[in-house]
Amino acid sequence: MSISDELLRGALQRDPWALGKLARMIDDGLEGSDEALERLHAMGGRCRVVGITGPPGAGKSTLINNLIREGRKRDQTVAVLAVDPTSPYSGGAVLGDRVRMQEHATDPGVYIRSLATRGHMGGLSRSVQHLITLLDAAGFDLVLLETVGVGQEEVEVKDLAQTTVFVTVPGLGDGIQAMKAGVLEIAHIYLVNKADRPMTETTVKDLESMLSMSEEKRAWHPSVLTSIATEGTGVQEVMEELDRHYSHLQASGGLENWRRSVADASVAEAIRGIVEESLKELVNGDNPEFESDIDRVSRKEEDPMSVARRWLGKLDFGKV
Amino acid sequence: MTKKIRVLIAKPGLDGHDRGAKVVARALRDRGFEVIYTGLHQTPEQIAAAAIQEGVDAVGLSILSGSHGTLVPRVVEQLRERGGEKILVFVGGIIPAEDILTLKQAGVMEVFTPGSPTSRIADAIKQAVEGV
Repeated sequence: MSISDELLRGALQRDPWALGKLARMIDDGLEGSDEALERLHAMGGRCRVVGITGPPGAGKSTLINNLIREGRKRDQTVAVLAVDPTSPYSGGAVLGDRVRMQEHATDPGVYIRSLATRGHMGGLSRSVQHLITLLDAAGFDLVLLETVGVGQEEVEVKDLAQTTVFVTVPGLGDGIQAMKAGVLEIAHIYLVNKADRPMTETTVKDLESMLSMSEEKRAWHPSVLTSIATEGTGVQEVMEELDRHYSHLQASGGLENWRRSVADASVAEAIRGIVEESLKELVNGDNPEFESDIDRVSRKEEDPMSVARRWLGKLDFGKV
Repeated sequence: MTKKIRVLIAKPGLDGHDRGAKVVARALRDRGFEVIYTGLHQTPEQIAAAAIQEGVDAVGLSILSGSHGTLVPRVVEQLRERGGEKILVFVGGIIPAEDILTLKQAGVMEVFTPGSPTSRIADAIKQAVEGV
């Protein structure tokens, strides 16, 4: 099946129906999506991509709701990709980020798409990079990526967003937590939300002290801001800081680096996807040779690594 | 890969009781559906716009206020207007028996009144979407 020109044309005019349809094809990997992405990839290259990450309940969706409003005040078109986790048991998901953003549902300059991780690790879904391609080609000025509620290690957003905002709340851990590696390292802006709660100052200080300890001389010094997103307080400042970071990227060649990092992550992820697909076929399919190798490993007649290497040589990835 | 069923669950109108909607959302999740929940006090326009943007297969409306007679047909109409005539609409809540036929004639796939087992809701959606 070939992707219809009408559908593609609709999406490029930001028609919600066409965007919804194409996003579904891409997210589900349906027939025609590869072809659509091939054509979409050649377009765009203009949009700003901002990642919003942080623990569950920190206020990411509410912040995004406010950022949409700020963006619209500036006449920007805004798209949101909001990711929530898939159940490891049923494969289902409840996607509830949109609840906080419904005031923008009927605004033709806003497109919001909820996504489930579908087993993908890293805080996003595998399709997010492709959906950014779609939204960028459609000419959205600003794309906001909301990760799942993160713990410590979901850092994939740093490869896809130009600017990453880490949203946290007062009193979540102390200065030692702030020193740990992982998601706390990747942000360009730190935001302590729900700043009307106790311990706001301590949390801000812990984060600032973590940032000041970095030995590495970085061209960008992340700042720590505070907000009460439910009241809209502090959101203007976040928007200004996003602008400041974008200007920094423009001046320092950071946008080029970002394009490169997206390309790198996308190709690597595509290869991983193809390998995983062939692997799935192997594991699900009744390949007697594979099954007998598994038996040999379980009987300790051969080690897993040797079997894996042999099978990697045998798999024909090109066919997928 | 089996296609995931995507369903939007919404509460149109003014009543503020969303327990039923949440129970259904949760039950559908446990049947492997992706459920988008849009929360309370939604207008038919908001619901239809969200359904189109999200590319869902079905929309579930939970109504306890008695205003299903006006709200439901408006959601159906709004969906059609936005190109979503293929999106299935089902309704849950306190709906008098004599209204059920009227709602179905307005384009509603099924009406589930209090006490409907959630498995029946999931089965009905699955059957209507996948045709099995």
